[in-house]
Amino acid sequence: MSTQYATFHLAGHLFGVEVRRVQEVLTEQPRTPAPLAPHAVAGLINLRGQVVTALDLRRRLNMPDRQEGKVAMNVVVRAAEEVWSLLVDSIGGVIEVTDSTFEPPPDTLSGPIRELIRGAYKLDGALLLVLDVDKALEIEGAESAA
Amino acid sequence: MDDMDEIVQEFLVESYENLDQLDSDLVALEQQPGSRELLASVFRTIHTIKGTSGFLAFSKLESVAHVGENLLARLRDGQLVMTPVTTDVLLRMVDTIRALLSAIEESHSEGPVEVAEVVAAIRAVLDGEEPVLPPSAGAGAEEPAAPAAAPEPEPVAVAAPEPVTESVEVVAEVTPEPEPEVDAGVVPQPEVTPEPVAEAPAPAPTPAPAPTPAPAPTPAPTPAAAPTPAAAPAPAGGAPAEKASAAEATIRVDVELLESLVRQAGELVLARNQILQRAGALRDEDLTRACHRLNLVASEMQESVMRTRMQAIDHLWSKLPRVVRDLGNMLGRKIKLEMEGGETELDRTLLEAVKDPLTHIVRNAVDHGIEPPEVRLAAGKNEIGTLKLRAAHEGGQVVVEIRDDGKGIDPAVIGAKAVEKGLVSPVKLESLTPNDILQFLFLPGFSTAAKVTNVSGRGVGMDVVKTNIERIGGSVDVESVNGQGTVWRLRIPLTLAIVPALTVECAGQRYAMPQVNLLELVSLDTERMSTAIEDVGGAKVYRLRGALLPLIRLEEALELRRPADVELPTNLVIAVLECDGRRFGLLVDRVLDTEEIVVKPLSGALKAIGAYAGATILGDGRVSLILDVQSLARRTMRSDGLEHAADQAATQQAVTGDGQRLLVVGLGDNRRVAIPLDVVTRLEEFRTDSIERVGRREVVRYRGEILPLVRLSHHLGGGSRGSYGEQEVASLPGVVYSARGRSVAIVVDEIVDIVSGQDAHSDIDDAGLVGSAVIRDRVTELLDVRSAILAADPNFFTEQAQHELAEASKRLGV
Repeated sequence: MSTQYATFHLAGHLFGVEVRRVQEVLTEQPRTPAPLAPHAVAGLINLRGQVVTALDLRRRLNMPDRQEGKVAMNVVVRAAEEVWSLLVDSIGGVIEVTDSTFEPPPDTLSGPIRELIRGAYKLDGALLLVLDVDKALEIEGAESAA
Repeated sequence: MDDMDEIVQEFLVESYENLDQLDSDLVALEQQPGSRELLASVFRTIHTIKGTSGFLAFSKLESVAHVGENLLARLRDGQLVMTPVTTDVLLRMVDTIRALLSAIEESHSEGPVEVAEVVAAIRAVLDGEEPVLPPSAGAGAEEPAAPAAAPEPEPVAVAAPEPVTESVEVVAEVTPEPEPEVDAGVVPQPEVTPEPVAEAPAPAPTPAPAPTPAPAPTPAPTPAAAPTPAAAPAPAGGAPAEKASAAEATIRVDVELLESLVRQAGELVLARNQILQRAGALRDEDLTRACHRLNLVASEMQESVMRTRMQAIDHLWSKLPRVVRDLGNMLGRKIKLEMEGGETELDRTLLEAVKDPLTHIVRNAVDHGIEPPEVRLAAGKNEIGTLKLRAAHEGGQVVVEIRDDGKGIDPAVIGAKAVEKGLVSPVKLESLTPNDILQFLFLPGFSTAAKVTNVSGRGVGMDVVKTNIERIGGSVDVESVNGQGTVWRLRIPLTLAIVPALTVECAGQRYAMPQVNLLELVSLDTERMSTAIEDVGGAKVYRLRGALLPLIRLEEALELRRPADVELPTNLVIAVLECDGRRFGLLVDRVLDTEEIVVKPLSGALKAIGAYAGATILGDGRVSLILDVQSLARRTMRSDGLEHAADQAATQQAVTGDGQRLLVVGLGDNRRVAIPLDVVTRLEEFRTDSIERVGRREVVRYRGEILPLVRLSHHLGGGSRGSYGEQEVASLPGVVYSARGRSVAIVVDEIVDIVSGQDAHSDIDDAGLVGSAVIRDRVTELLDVRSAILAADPNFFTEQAQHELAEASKRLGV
């Protein structure tokens, strides 16, 4: 058994989201800030006439902010009834992994990352962290830190 | 007579549709006689036909439907059980109704159709006299009954919709009909939608029905019943052939599909805006020409698509003659109802939203507006009152006027009531124009009905009307001439999908707000900025033509941080907004434009903030948030809603009602504070160097005793001329209050004036204050005396003194 993941990089980590959840991948888009919104909400983007909320995954995972001037890529994912864009550092390829290499989150992980990671696939020379998209998008109220 | 024709047409279409359903329901019912859903559905159909035919004065139809309804009611309530005979009788009732409908369609009257037989047959079943039936339905019927049901609907169904649909809007019919049925019918209902669609192709075999009606009478149970069906096909056979093409001119479309078309048209318009904006800069002639065409086509398409959702306001109005007639009869009024502009079209969702408010106003006009005939005669008017409805397009809106020539609304009565309810002070009332006073009608809980009737005056009044109309982006106002009549005017946007909005800029970001809330824009340049915005205990206000306008800084409300590279604005704009009947000003950096925007939904996380009503995409393709003006106001204003406003009104009434006199004092920062003169025992001048400290308090030696002292500017927060360290002021004025041998001094910066009453009042208050008012053209804060005194001397109030002060405070409304 194997599963396909769309991968991306975030502060030196390799993350993956199930391919079927990903609608498209876009380069940096102009964002309209949303004042009063939770910290992790990076703003709103215009996706061909649809208004899509952008979630900065670095902030969501309590990672340091992206360096000034570094562009953020958009991974557009489908959630229950909405479409969201996840802001990541850079896009990796689609990786097919065998389920036997899967392990629950390593004990060394702590904090929000651990909550939002379903587990890791042991790749050659890297770990593919599987993002729990639905949990990551649950930001109402939950997100007041940072 | 045209109005009537349309009602009849509508009734026919409605009834034919229902009858088709009825046929299949009845047959299904025979299979499962116990099904309550089916029975309820059948019952409802017949009930509707009965009701409408009674209204339209089709007496034969009514009598048939009436007995049928009785029978169905028994079945529904389980007093009778479905038998083949019952089914047969009911099917014959359906046939008779069809025949009557055809006759009505042809000749606008019920014609010679015979109904007595069917009525008698149904009565017989009702009376449990099955044996009586056989002559008409018995032997022959049982077998042909089923076939009769099957072939018959077809010829008639085909023949019927054709001529009728001709005059009826496509969309119009799609919704009103299936909707009410959906909740009741379980299985058959989903088929309702496909069915109408199938009807469109049905007319294709048009030539067929012509021969088919002929067999129609044949299956009809017995020779005895022959006259009934015979009458039907006769007229029906002639007409459909001529009108065959009419059905092809309209088709039924799913409302969902239309909705999505409207959305897409909105997108197209946005895309066009973006292209036009870019193309304008390129100066490419060919591109410009292409853009012009695009512009034209997009506009036209938008308009056409919008029109698919449009319905004539007649759809609402058609119900009103009955309402007016019944109500008029009940209340003993003679009323002539005139309607003008019924063809004016409106988005159907809006139409639905206007229905109740409109009916409410019409009922009100009959109940409270138009006088009884004898009163009218005595007043020299025609004893028949006129109620006139007028609808028209005006500047991108639909204006609906409801005008009566009744007794009008007396501003004096409204004013007195408003004062009684504490909504306004008598002083303020005098300064209001009659028209201003009429606006009190829209306040919650305001009802002028002297007694509660079952017509109106049940507490849901004009405030609900106003709220409902405003919810869809419309407005309502009223004009009245005492003794001559009243005009209510509803302004309704043509559509909801596209909203006119104002785009503003604040801290480098753009926001849109619906124009419906906007009253005016006030621009403040650098010079006026510092003086025009006044501070009341930390809250900002602007004096707009003498009235205090609470201000909300958008920057603060949204906690915006100005980026370093964006310069501070050199001037500001106050957008004067009104919602929930309250006015306030929103301070923004700049007003950019007015634009038609398409409202887009926000994700749940952003909706939860409560500051935004949605988002939109502006001409340059960037997303902009749409401010939820109402909740912004609620979030930001210190008072929480009407309860508070009522409190304030009470305070004001107490202050002014008693002819209370106020001592106005000045503090640093140009502040003015008013102290009730009741609590001023003496005014004194204290030498600053005689002020000493005892612990953390300040005291002054005065007339051989030690007087605790409070500096009002400290107490209320803010700077003062005479603060420590700046000893340039040799003495300060103070207000001494003595009670039961104890005294305290309230030290102020200057004594300004003594006045009585005040002429404006706002909701803004702060710790230590009970409110604010405009006195002598200056914003003045009203001091909470009790807390000021306690600040000077926490032990000031013995029990008795406390009582005494409580009395004084009560008058102040503290």
